[in-house]
Amino acid sequence: MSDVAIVVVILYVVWVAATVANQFHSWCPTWLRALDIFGLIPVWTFFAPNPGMTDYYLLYRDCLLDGSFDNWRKVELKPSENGLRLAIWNPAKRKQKAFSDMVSALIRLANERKVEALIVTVPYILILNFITSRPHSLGANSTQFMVMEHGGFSRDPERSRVLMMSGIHRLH
Amino acid sequence: MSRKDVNKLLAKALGSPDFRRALLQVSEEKATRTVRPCSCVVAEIPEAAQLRDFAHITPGTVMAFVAREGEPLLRNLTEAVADNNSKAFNLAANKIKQMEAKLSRNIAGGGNSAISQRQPFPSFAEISYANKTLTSLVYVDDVLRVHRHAFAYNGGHLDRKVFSMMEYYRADSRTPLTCLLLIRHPTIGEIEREALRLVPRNSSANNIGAAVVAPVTPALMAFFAITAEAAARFVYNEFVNFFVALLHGGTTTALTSIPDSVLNSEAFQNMLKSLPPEVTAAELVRLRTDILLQERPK
Repeated sequence: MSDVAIVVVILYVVWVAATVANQFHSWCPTWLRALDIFGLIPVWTFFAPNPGMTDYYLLYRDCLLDGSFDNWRKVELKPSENGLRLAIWNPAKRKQKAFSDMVSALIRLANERKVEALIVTVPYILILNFITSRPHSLGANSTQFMVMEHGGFSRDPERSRVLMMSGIHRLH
Repeated sequence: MSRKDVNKLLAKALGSPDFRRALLQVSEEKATRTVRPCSCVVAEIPEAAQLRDFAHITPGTVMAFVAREGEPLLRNLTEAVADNNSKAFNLAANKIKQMEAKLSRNIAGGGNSAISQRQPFPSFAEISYANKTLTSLVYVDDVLRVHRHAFAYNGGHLDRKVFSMMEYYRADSRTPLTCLLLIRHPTIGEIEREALRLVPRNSSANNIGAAVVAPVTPALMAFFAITAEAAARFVYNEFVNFFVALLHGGTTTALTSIPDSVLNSEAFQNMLKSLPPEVTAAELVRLRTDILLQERPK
């Protein structure tokens, strides 16, 4: 076997080893991922080993003139129908995708930043603008929104929690 | 008298010196009259009730019915709720609506003189929840024997024991007033219910609104739609301006994150302090633009 062949074999063996290591999030050394600037080490785990088991919900409520709040309202962008037509023509899915990306980005930022720094981020401002343009109660002059995580079919009594709660913002 | 004329009459009356004098008179009466606590009965419309049942109580409201003790209509209402008898309830509620209509006709027919004839009213009451006054100047008379008043309710926790009503009564008024409060939960889904559960309930007074639920008229809805649309358009324009500013003079993009050093700086804290209370989306866009333009490399 020639020297070049040996080098090639070693390279492939290292690549296979790095690929295997990269499938196990807890084992994989951080320096290995840092080295992979071209994304040459694949990850095939998709959502494993911790698949998403919760849903995020965006809710808002209005503050009335006397300081009381009306009930929380869930923001729903999904069309009420669920049919084959949506498999062929479903332009609303882009709106849903943008919305869900913004909520995910906001949660990530909320974990990293203080509240006062959060309010100048793009996801926060976009969501606030979106909430402002939603229907509001008569007599309301300000609003508040929150992102809630809900465990869906989980029977755990603590299956939901507040991930982010905004301050109160004027509507006009 | 047409509805338009009634509105004109009211608008004129509200700004008149007579009205200010009347308000002064009421506050004087309130300061000098003897006060007595009244009984408050709190009941709940069953959550299983359909929307068409108890149709006079909108979901998401607490409706107060105020009358003199022993008033048969109030007894009918109480019994109807206790028996979950929507038909009997609607019958009694319709009679109260007829009384209200009669009172409106009397005022509209009599103009200014009818309004002035109504003063001074015999006794009036104030309904409160904990330390929060929900409404004051509730009164009943021979025409309107039962007064009803709706308060917005978000479905959160309410402590029945802290509802109260105080009557500012005249010396000749023997029979005290009494109040029936009917709570109807809003129609909310599981997620909204969870949200209510998660938000701390230390301030249950925020779950009930003192403001009257305003009637939804097409004109009012159109006004709100136009206002909301204008606000959204304004923010959109702000974003467009922001992008144009960046395209023409900046090397950064809208999604550029503001460095932590800037967010921790005193200048940023001062900018935050200079913001008006309950800042709007448009004001936040302006603040972000200011920060990015300040930070832009020369």
